[in-house]
Amino acid sequence: MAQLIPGTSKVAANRRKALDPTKTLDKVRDVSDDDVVAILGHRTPGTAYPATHPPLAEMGEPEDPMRELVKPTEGAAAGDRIRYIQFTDSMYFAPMVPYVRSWMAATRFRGVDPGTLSGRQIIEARERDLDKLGKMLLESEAFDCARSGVRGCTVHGHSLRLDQNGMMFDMLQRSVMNPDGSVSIVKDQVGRPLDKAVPVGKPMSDADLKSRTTIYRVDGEAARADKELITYIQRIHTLRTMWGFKPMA
Amino acid sequence: MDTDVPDTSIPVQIEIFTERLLNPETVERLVTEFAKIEGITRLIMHGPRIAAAVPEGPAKGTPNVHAARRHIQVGQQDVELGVQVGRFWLELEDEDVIEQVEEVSRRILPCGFQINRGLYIRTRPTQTDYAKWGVIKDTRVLGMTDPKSKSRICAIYPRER
Repeated sequence: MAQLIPGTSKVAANRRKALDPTKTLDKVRDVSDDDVVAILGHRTPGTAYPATHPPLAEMGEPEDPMRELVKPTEGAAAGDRIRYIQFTDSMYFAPMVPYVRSWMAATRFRGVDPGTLSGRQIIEARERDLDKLGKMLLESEAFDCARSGVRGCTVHGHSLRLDQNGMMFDMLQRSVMNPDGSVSIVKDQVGRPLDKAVPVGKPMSDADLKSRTTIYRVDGEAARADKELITYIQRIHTLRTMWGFKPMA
Repeated sequence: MDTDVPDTSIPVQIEIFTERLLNPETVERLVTEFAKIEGITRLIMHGPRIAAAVPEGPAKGTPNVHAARRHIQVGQQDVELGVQVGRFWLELEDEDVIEQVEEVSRRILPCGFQINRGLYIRTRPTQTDYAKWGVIKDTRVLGMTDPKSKSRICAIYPRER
């Protein structure tokens, strides 16, 4: 059993669940394949995947034991372009915190390049692999339609106060709250209007968010209240400080 | 030297800091109520910018459709909101007005808020002010412009001006 995240708190348990590829994330909504493609905005839904190189099977690759050992992903085998999905997660109890989202991408998906910035998180992958992982993430509990967003650019909002209706601030307003309280995504991740709005259901309640979040907060579960977590952090900190990357203790 | 003597040259300025970013309807109602209070001399609305056009990425330059970017009506005056308001900076004639402002805020705002006392609007011109505007005779316009903006005044003026 991999040692993923220490801690006895609910937040630590949620992080372990997110990072453990043997655990399935709860599915909280349905988003069709075409809607995922539309939200990503890299190609028109229904069109063929543009290729950046011929399929690997036709390329006559040299014999190599590593090539036999590591099978290419479906997108790599077909020669797809590399494209991205980028998330912004509000610090107000969003289900994911950017670093955990990156770790999760690294443990759950093959052939991806996750990257974390201060308030956003990007995953690069071959296009058809990206469509699959994007769909899985958008439909799962790792995405809340009010506190998370798919934002390719102009991502500002992660550390801002929420809007009056509980939505995370988005200068491009890619998702809107309907009068009935449900949310629809109306623009793709770079702010181009979609032909038709994509309904993504109602936002999670505050209680639900607090039970699913991977964010430590003093007004939720404070990191310092998790003794086991602090013990491990302090131990790692001490070992790193005293012996760098070669702890002898 | 007696340090308790209040400095009358320092204006009474307050900040209303809301728990949520407000929608234009709430801002319109609140500022309309503020306009009825005698004793508010200057008011600035502050918050994250909402650009008129998408500023970057593949959609750069296309119109940015956003519900919070719209015109509000304050009395007879039309004000274009370019921000999603999260703070109000008010300059008051005296401290007694703070109570009225607090009462109105409590009545209108749907969320919690803080009222902080401080100095939020400039009282003296800066070099940038001089470079952009020259000698400013009417000191009421000081600090009422965004130095980085190409627009001029971004605050509510009395009707007669």
